[in-house]
Formats: sequence, structure tokens, C-alpha cells
Amino acid sequence: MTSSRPGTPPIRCTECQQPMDSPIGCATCGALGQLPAGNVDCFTLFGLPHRFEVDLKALHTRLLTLSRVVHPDVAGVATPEKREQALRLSSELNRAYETLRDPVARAEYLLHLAGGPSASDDKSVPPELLSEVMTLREEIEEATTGGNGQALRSLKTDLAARRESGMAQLAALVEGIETPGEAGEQGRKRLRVALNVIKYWSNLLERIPAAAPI
Amino acid sequence: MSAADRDIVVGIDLGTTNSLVAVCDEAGPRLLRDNNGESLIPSFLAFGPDGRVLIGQEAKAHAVENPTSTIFSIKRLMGRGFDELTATGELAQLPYAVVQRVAQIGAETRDMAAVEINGRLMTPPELSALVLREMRERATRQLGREVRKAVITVPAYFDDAQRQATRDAGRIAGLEVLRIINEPTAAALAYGLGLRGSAVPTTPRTEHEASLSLLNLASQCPSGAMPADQAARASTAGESLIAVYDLGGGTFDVSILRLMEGVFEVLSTHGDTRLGGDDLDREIIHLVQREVREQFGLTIDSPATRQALRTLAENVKVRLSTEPSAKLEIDLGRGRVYSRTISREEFEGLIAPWVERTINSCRHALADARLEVGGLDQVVMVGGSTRIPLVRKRVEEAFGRRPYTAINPDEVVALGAAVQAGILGGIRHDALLLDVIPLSLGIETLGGAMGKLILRNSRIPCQATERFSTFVDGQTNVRINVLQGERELVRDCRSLGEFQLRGIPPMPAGLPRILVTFLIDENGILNVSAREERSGQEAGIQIVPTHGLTRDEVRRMEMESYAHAREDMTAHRLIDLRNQVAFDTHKAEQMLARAGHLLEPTEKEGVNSAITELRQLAETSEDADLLHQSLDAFDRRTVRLAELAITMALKQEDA
Repeated sequence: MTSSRPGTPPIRCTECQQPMDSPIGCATCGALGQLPAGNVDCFTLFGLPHRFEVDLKALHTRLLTLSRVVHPDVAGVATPEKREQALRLSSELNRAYETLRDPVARAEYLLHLAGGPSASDDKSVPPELLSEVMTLREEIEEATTGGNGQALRSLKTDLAARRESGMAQLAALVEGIETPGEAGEQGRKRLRVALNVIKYWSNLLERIPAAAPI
Repeated sequence: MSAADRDIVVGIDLGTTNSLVAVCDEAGPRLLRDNNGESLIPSFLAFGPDGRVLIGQEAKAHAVENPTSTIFSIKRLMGRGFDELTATGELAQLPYAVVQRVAQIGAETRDMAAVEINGRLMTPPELSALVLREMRERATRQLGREVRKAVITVPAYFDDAQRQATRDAGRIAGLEVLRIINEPTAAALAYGLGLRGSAVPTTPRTEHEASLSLLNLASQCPSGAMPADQAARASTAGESLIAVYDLGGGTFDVSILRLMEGVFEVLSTHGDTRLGGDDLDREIIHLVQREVREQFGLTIDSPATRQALRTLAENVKVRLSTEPSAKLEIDLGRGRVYSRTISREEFEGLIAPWVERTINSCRHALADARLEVGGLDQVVMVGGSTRIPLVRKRVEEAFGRRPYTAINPDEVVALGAAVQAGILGGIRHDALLLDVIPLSLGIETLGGAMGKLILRNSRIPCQATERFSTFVDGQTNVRINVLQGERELVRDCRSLGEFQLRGIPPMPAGLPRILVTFLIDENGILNVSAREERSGQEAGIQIVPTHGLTRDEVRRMEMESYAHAREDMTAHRLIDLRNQVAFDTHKAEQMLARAGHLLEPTEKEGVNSAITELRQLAETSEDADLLHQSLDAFDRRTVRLAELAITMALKQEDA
């Protein structure tokens, strides 16, 4: 994977003419970038290709590098206009980071780029899932009211495992969403279902009190 | 720009019980102290019947004598409504009078708490502004230059209204508040300085600065403060995960941060803005009140008694941090003496529920940072209450790490604020803070539900956009109720205010598309803007803060504060001049006694009557300029007498 997107010309800084990894700002001279109106592509902001696989460590490093350019504490001290620009750029940067960091949000974002309904618009899940969720929810409530830490811990482990296995499939599912025609439509449908299933597990996990006794 | 032309930016820790001010230069941050070397200014105000205000130690010293006109714990009132303060029972604990300040803006009503002092209403931001002005003056005196800019700290768990109130207080005090920064984050910044060798002053100027250089994770630490394996791990990874546990006088925060190459990244934060050392003191107060009632049938709850009990309880609490037990005795009059010894175990039993609440917050913070117990490299303790052994023990258990206690927990936040001030003032370039929003932000949706737009612990700055439309044909206004909190129903969240979108072009219902942007800035403060997409027109927004001041009110208070500052200065000057009159007239009388016989009788008479006249004027006149002139005239008139007196004295010496 290369850092510049194939097919797009490298961007250059208007101030120092050096190549820029991100349109958001120049890591060489610290000049703030200009963002086009509307939503800015998350991958482009981080100079990454549209792919599901993301090196999280590299993503984080780049977040820090770019934050050193666009954070209002660094960039915004000169004038109110500059602060405004820095505020907008850094909030876009943070939004893009949160989208790319989380595999579910990242997959949803790729789904959104591919077109068609989002997972939450579709809402479809395997028919057997709902009754399973109902049962688990009751078990959590019972263990919570009964103060059964043992049961809560084991439910937590179980749900985390289910979520993990759901996440493990995402990469393969994303592969198929850009295929033209019916195959692509089917691929996007499968991804939407998988994402909805993961959300159910996440919601259940949230029902388990975070502050379970240590 | 040279250092001399740059505006000085100070860092201020505006605390519930104490406040501090610090400054940062190339050598590092340092606290600004008074002539006695004291860095803490008690956040106490005492209002005299003559309108004079005492601030700090003097005010605190007279708290028992003037319980209803001594104001403290203002921070607990900041950005809060009277109704909620009543509902939580917090008002009942204060000896001074808090009333509701209902203000009407158009059709909206706001509920703000205000303090009534000698018949005058003052809002919490105005009161905090007095403390801030005192610190500003201390800084100006110490630095020999006018201080106009500041970074002010707030608890990380402060919501938008509380942050706004703090910023308003700064403005009323005549300060440009460059940044509101979270207290645990500031502490981490001061603490983390030790990670970068260059940032530590080479020759510490005071013991407090020396303590800063001990913060180096990889360096020698005070015995037992940090196991060697921890230090090694932190230094090799180039990245360290730290938890800051901050239990202050009135608020509690815990933040988890990642420190890496000068970037201080907050991963999560949790807390309770109504939990602090005050609450622990109150456990002792309640115990004493109950036992006095049982043993003597007496109810001791007058404002003056409450204030005295508060001092006593604080004292006991502090003693129990180092001693296994503390004796307390209260003379109830007529030979009745309440006396008992309280052991540390008993005290720990009383405060355990409060401590457990903080531990619960720690678990939330760990979970939100996606960390396990034991996954941290360091736990830093901030705030005076972290001296309590039970607190240290429970924190150690919760995080699976021995807390680091080598820093003075009262001073580290102000030092961190000064570092941030240094960054914004262009003195330091090596550090960057990336913080988060502590509470989710959302809007009221149909059916009284909270629709979250920005989730808690999101990195700031951040923004969310939401589309709104109209329900009625030709509707030109839309109201949005903005909320903060984690609960699902509107009534369980805090309302930050009503945002009124105005000037929407009249169109059939549902046709306008108003895009509203909610932007949380680097201070954690909300900014809202709106645009109607079809017409491209910017929609006007009027904000009615639920528990805060409007911009106009802040501006007016700032002006009034300037006026008061002048009045206060006049009052100060009058007092100084009157003292001078007393001194000079007394001196003149002494000289008359010694050398009066050398003067012509008429001249002697003239000096005598001048003494009487000047004393009379000093007693009756409020005109400082007139008094000043008269004092000068008096001094000229007594020049010959003074010369004679000196000559006499010299002669006597010769003899």
C-alpha cells in the first residue's frame, strides 16, 4: 500500500511547494490547507487509499503529525480567521480519524462511498438473531439485578467473542461491495447485515455495567 | 517578537477552596507567591458592611465571625441553576444566602443561582471574577507588568455551562481567557515535563521546581515512588499511559492520557463535579452535630457554628492523614464540653461511600479508554484530598499501580496551566494537548428523548451537523434545545440552552433545509451556526443559556467591575491617606512637645490647630484628592518645626 492515492496527482503546498500527504495542511512548513465545501473524504485527509485494511499505528502517528499543524493551539493564535480555519480543519481531522480507527465505522464509510442504503437504513439481520438477543438481554438484566459478577463477566467474554468474530469477517465482506451489477448489490447487502449484527453485540455489551467490581 | 514585547500569559488554577497563579518562561513554569512565600490564595471573599471586599487568607480568617457575608465554594455554583442546587441539597450546606436570579429574555426564563450579600445580588461569575482579579493583581505586582491574558483550569467533567461561566468570570475580571483547560490534563502537562530533559530547569530555583524535575519517568525517583520495571518500560516504549486522579475541594476528575513525543492525548475522562474534600469534611460535621444533639440535646447549626465546625472538621481530616487518631473538643458553654477522639478507621468508614464513587469513575474511565486494570504506566495524584491514606489505597487497588505522590498535589495544576500559557504565548513549542469532551452533546428530539450528536470522550475540536425543517407553512423560527449528558431522556440531561434559529425564509412546511453545525472548540465550549440550504442564507441564532449569562450581561459586568475597581482603589487610597494623617499628626505632636517652646507662640498655635483640622478632615471627608492636598500642606507647614526638632535631637546627642 502506498501513501499517495493511485490516480490522483500529488498535492503540493501552495506556500512551500513541497508535496503534502494530506490536503489539510503542510507538515513541512505548517501552512493550513483549504478544504472543499461539504464532506471531505476521510481517507484522502489521511493520504490513504480507499481500502478496509488500515495500519492503526501509522494512522495514529499521522493524526499526531497533522494535529501539530492544524490544532488551534498551534495554528490559531495569529488571527481570529486563522483560528476559525484551524478549528474547522482539526474537527474534520478528528472526525476522519474516528471513522477510520473503528473497523465498523470504517466499513460503514466504505459502504456509504459505494452507494446504496446504509446499514442502519436497511436494518436487516438474520431472522434467528432477534430471539438470541432477547435471551441474552434477559440474562444480563438478571445478573445485574442479582449482582452476579461471575455471570456478568462470562456474558461479557461471550459477547466480546461474538463481536470479534463479526469484525473478523468485515475485511472479506468489504472486498465485494464495489463489484458492478447484482453481485455488488448482494455484497453490500451481506455487509449491511454483518454490521447490524455487530451493533447488536455492541449494544448488549454496553448494557453490562462498566463498573463491575474488580 | 522579543520576549519583552510579548504579552504575558499566566496560568490560573481557580479552585473550590484555593486558587493559584503561575507563569512560564524559558526556564520552565513557576508559581507566583506572596511575600510570605505562600502560593495558595483561599477562594474566599469577605464583604464588609462598608462595601469593602477582602479576598483570600484575610477573608478566610474571618469566616467564623462573618458567616453570612463570607463567600466560598463559589465553584460549586458556577453554571448551575437554583432549582438543581436546591434539589441536590447543596444549598442547605452553605452559611450564606443563595437565591434564585430569574431573568427574562424575550419569552425565555433562565434559572441562575446568585448570592445575596448585604442586600446586593451577585452571580457566581462575578464572585469568581473577584478572586481572579486578585490573582491578576498578584501576577502584575510580581512580574512588574500588566497581565491581561490567562489560561484558566476547570474540572475535566465540567459541562458547557460551567465552562462558559468560568470564561465569563475571566472576562469580568478583565482577562482575555485564551484557553480553558482541564485540570487533570494540566496536571499531566506539568508532570510530563519530566519526560523531556530540555524542559526541566537546569538549576531549580525553589524546592517546588526541584520537585518538577523529579517527575522524569526514567530518572531516579524518590524511594518507593516507582518500581524500576515501570520506569524502564516507560522509557523504552517512548509512549506512556498515565491516569490522573484529581480529588479537589469540590470536584473529582479522572483522566487517562497517552504521552508520546510531546503530545498529551486524553483518551478518556470521567468524574463528578459535586464530589470533593468539602463532602468529606461534612461527614465529620454531621457526626459531631448528631452526637451533640444526643448528648446535650443541643442543635448546633447556626451559620457561625457551621463555619466553625467546617474549620474544625477540615483540621481533623488533615490530621488523620498522618496520625492514627485525632481529638476534638467543643466548648458548648455553661460547662458543657463535647469531647471525643476519632480514629482513622472510623473516619475511613464515614468517607468510604464517597471514595467508592471516585473508584467507580476510574473504572468507567478505564473502560472508555479500552484499557485493562494494570495497563497503565503511571498513576498521578492531584488535589489536596489525595493525601488521605484511604484514597491512595483504593486508587492503587483500582488501577493496579502504586500512585505517584511525589508532586505537591495542590500546585501541579497551576504549573500545568502555566505551561499551556507558555505554549499559547509562543514560549514553548514542544508540547501539544489533545483533549476530549467529557459528556455527550445532543438535542431534544420528538417525545422528550435525547438525540446524541457528539459522543463523550470524542476528540476536540469536533463538530456535528444536523438538518432541521419547519412544521408550519411560513414558519420563520425554529427552536432547538441543546443538551449535555449520557441519559436517554431530556429531563435527565442538562439543558445548555435554547437556540433559536431566526430569519428562515417563509416556505411551505418541511421545505426549508436548515443545516445546523454544532462545533465544540478546543476549550470544550459549544459554538452553533446555521444555514438555510435552499436560500444559502445564514440563519441568525439567539442563544438563551439555561443557567448562564448572556454576552451583554458579561459585557455590562465587566464595565461595572472596572468601575468598582476604581472605587476600591479610592477606598484603598483613602485608608492609606488616613493612616498617613494619623501618623503625621502624631509625629507633629511629639515634635511640639520636644521643640514647641522654640517656636513663636502664634506659630505653635497654628500647628496645633492644623493638627486638629487635618484630623477632622480625615474623619469626615471621602475626597481622597482633597485629603492628599491637605496632607501635603500640613507637611509644608510643619517643616520648620521638624527642622527645630532635628536640631534639638542632634544637640542632645552632642551633650
